[in-house]
Amino acid sequence: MSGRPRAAPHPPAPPRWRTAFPVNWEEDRSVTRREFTSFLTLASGFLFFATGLVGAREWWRGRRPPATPAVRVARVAEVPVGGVQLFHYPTADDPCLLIHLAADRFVAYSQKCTHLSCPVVYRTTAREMHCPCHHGRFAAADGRALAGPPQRSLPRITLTRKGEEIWATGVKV
Amino acid sequence: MITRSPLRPGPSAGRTPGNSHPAAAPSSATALAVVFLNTQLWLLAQAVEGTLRGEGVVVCPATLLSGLCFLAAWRLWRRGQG
Repeated sequence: MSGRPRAAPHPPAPPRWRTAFPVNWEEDRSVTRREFTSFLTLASGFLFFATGLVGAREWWRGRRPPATPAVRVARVAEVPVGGVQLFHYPTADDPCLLIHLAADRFVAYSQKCTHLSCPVVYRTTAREMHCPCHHGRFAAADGRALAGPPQRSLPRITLTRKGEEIWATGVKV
Repeated sequence: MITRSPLRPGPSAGRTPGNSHPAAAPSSATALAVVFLNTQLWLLAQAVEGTLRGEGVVVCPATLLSGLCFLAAWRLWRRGQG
C-alpha cells in the first residue's frame, strides 16, 4: 500500500448562467410588498408637497403684483443702432432687453420666453428675438410670436425718453 | 425592484433556477400606487410648466388632484397595514 495521500476530486464547475449573472441570492436584500408600498406612499406625499410648493409660490406671486416704478435704462448714446442692452425691470429677477432698432426707435421686451422662461437673445440680421431652448422666434418690432412653441407675445416694456436718457415706465403683457 | 410577500404561494411557484425566492409579482395595491405616483409626476410637471409659461391657473387644480392621489395612495397603504 502506498502512503501517498489521494488527491481531492475537483469541485464541479459552476453552471454558465451563474458565472454570467453572479448574484448571491442569499445576500441579496429583498423588499416586501408592504415596504415597497410604504415607499410609494412616501414618494406620493413628497410629490404632493412639491406640487403644493409650486402652488404656494404662484399664489404668493399673484398676491402682490409687482410695482412698476420708472427706472432709467440707458443713455441713448450707450446703445448703437442694432445694439442691445440688458436691464432688469420691474424687479431684479426680471431680465429685459432694450433694442435700438433704428435711429430714434427703441423697443424693450422681457427676456423670458413665453414658452418655458428661457432667456431669449436678439439676432440683429434677422431682427428677431430667438429662444435657444426650443427655437422659438419673436418679432423684434412688436414682440409677437413668429415660430416655435411660444404662443404668446413677449411682454413689452413701456419706454419713455427723457432728454438723452431712456426710462422704463411699465410692462404691457 | 423585486417584491416578495411573506405569505407566498406553493413551494415551486415562480422560482428562478438555483434559488428559493419567488419571482416578482406586484399586487394590485402596489400597481395602483404606481399609477397614482405616475399621475402625480405628470401633475407636478404640468404645474411647473404652467408656472414657467405664466399660466398659473393650471397650478391649483394640479395641486388638488395631486392631493387626491396622495390620499388614495395613503388609504391603500393603511389598508395594507391593517
